[in-house]
Amino acid sequence: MIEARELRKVYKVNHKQPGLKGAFANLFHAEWEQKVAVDGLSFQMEQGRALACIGENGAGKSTLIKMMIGILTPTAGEIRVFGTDPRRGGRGYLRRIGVVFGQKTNLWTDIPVIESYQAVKTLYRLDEGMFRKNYDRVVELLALQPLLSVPARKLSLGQRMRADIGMVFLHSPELLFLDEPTIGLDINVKHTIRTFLRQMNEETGTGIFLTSHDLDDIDEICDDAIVLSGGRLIYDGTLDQLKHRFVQDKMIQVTGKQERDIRSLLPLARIIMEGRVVKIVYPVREYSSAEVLAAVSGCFAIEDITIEEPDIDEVVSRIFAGEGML
Amino acid sequence: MIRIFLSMKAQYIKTEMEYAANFWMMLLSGVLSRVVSMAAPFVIYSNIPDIAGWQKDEIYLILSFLFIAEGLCSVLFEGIWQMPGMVFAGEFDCILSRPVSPLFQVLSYGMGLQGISVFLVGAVSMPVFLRRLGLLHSWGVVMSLFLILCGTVLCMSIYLLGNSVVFWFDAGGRTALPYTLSQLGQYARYPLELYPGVVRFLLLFLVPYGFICVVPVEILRGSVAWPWCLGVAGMSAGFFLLARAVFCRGIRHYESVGM
Repeated sequence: MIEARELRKVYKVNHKQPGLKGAFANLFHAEWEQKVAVDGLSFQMEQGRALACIGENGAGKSTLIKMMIGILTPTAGEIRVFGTDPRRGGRGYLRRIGVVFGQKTNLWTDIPVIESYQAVKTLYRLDEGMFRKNYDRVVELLALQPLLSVPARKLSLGQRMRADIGMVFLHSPELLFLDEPTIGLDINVKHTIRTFLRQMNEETGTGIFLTSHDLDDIDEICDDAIVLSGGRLIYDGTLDQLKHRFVQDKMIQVTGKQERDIRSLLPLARIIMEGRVVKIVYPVREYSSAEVLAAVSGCFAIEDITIEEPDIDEVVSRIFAGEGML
Repeated sequence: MIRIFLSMKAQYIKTEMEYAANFWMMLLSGVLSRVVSMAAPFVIYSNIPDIAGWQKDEIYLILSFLFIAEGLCSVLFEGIWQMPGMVFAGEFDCILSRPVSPLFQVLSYGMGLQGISVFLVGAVSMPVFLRRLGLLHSWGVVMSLFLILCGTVLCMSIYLLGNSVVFWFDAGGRTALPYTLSQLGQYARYPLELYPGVVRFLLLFLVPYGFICVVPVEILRGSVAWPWCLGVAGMSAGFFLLARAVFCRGIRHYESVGM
């Protein structure tokens, strides 16, 4: 569905000296600087998948999205979506995709939400049946009913985002680009939006390409991930593998009576006692989960046991701290 | 397309009317500023009987043409003035991600409230002065409507051309050029014979405000022959194509350098 090969984007940035003097000098002699935003990126995304693009600020995520929409022209390399170049796909291409920028709104700010929806219906030339079906669905799932008659500029950020996300589904897009869709939202709204996106992805097969700082977004919505750093691709694979590759410690939590001291069996693990609960943090390089479980069952009268999934926050902060480059 | 355009405008009027005080203030300020500018010829002509062969009523007719074109532009195409802000704030990305002509989206955006009253002042005064000049017959009216149409398109094209500069020189969402152009246009409200040749050329062909108001009156009073209205039509079509081409170039430039 999406195919990028050796994609590169270089911006020309006006380089100003600081201060008034610098600003003045710039009037007569502007200095330009090359800034590489995306540097030799290659990846693929298949039909109907949900792919997360992870990266720090300035890693090139937004630039990448804009090149895929066709708003920006790549400096070099090739990008294909649905097998064609987005820059040449024109309106036919734009009709098949949907775009949400978390920090901007697609709604017409001065008019009621429902009028914006009607405008989309006319502008995309949607037939009544399809529009009704999609409309009823987003209004129900995102609880938009009370917002419909309110002009977009009077909505709170969370309400506006729900209305924005709803609007992007009206024309049944095959592929969605979401740039930080939950930025600045409270936890309830985030949850509503994530659940909705996941559901739409599963039921209608709409592909999702998502960038986010919020790693829970990524965890709840996406199956696959790419990681960018300084415009370069440093990971491309499933989200699960990503977590496991960067995880150094895992934790097992046991509730129950300890019958033998486990320390002698797992000398390299950290054992934290919290009353009846014992947490065993073990390095994955030294012990396999099976070994640890065997040791635990030998030492405890187990009442309850949980294996903690590695936390994606931690994974990503490790990646960017430069540990264990791929 | 036209239906959605008009329905958007209706929405904007509805929105503006929600703030009643502001609505009436804007209308009033539009009327006042235009009535005051009509007072200038009144003062001049009460001292001097004749300027370069032009009567007072003819000057008022020039102003009427200008007000109608400006007013319509402001009501219908206010989005052009908001475009630099959109480009600066990155909202232009949203426009480019919809499968609809960016120009249509820009034009349909927003509405200038003052425009309504400016248009009304023009629309009231025009028939009055047409009648005083004995031009209120079917030929004169048809001709006037046609010239108004051309003038409005021309006015829109000048604004579009000026504001498209933002794609190349983005200075915080503002550029001085469109304002300069519209200020220059204010000189086109007097008979062009008053100006030296260079200025006349400037007001006719570089910033063609002359074709919005002075030339139409010249055609109506018969000081130039009626085929000149073809020149007016040609000028407005030409300028529109030019402005649209620059706008499209601008978008392409935006696409290749934008952040």
